[in-house]
Amino acid sequence: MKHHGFHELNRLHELLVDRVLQGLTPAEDAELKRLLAKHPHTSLETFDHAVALLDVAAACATDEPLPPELRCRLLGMNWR
Amino acid sequence: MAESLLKRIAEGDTTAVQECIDAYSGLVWSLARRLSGTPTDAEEGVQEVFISVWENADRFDESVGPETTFIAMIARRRLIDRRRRKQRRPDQNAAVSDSQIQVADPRQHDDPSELGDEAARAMEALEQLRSEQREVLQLSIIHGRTYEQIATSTGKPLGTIKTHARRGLIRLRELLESMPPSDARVNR
Repeated sequence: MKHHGFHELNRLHELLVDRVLQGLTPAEDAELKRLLAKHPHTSLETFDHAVALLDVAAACATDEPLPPELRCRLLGMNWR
Repeated sequence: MAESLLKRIAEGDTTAVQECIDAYSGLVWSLARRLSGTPTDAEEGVQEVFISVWENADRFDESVGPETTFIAMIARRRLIDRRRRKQRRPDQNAAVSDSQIQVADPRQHDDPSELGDEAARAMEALEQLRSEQREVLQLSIIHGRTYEQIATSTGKPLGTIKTHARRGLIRLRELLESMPPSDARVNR
């Protein structure tokens, strides 16, 4: 029983990591929802914060501005 | 303290949208370049990301984390969804090309103090991982590679890549939780 729980948690972590790094298929997404319901103390965003910090670090290193025409397009959108 | 841009957006302040675009477009553009196949795809991705930021601004809770991290999380999720959609409908222009997407490695950043404190801690934690875990996370997060591309470029089986990614990210999270805040380390 304990063994089964270990494998289940492993699989839950695998899906959470895949979700943030690669994205999930609809079937994997459904599996993740099922497992999260069985492990309510595990957050859907367990790994998202750590990855976001590395994304911020990578962005600081590139420091490449948005193309001006794209900025104009964004500002011209209807934000109401 | 100034009210957060996301709070102002959630309250319907349209001037905050422009400030948000100017403040975070570099971050979103960097992510879009890494996670998109072509520059055109990256441009479309940026637009989707800012729409998603605008739609989700009311979910931002500053007690959980800074605005920058919240926007990076939304951007990554949206761009990964886009990439998956494209993979289901492959076209010739969608293939990631090294010549199109050039990304600097944050480890080569001249001045770590320019990174946010938390981002600098994350880089420090990344350095502490086992080399094979660090390599997979760098290729995936910093260079935007898919597991399949990493398996091909490293010559390792796909299952091994997935295992390194999972173990590496679990360890990275543990390291971040165990690290004291940057200020505490500076004052020690």
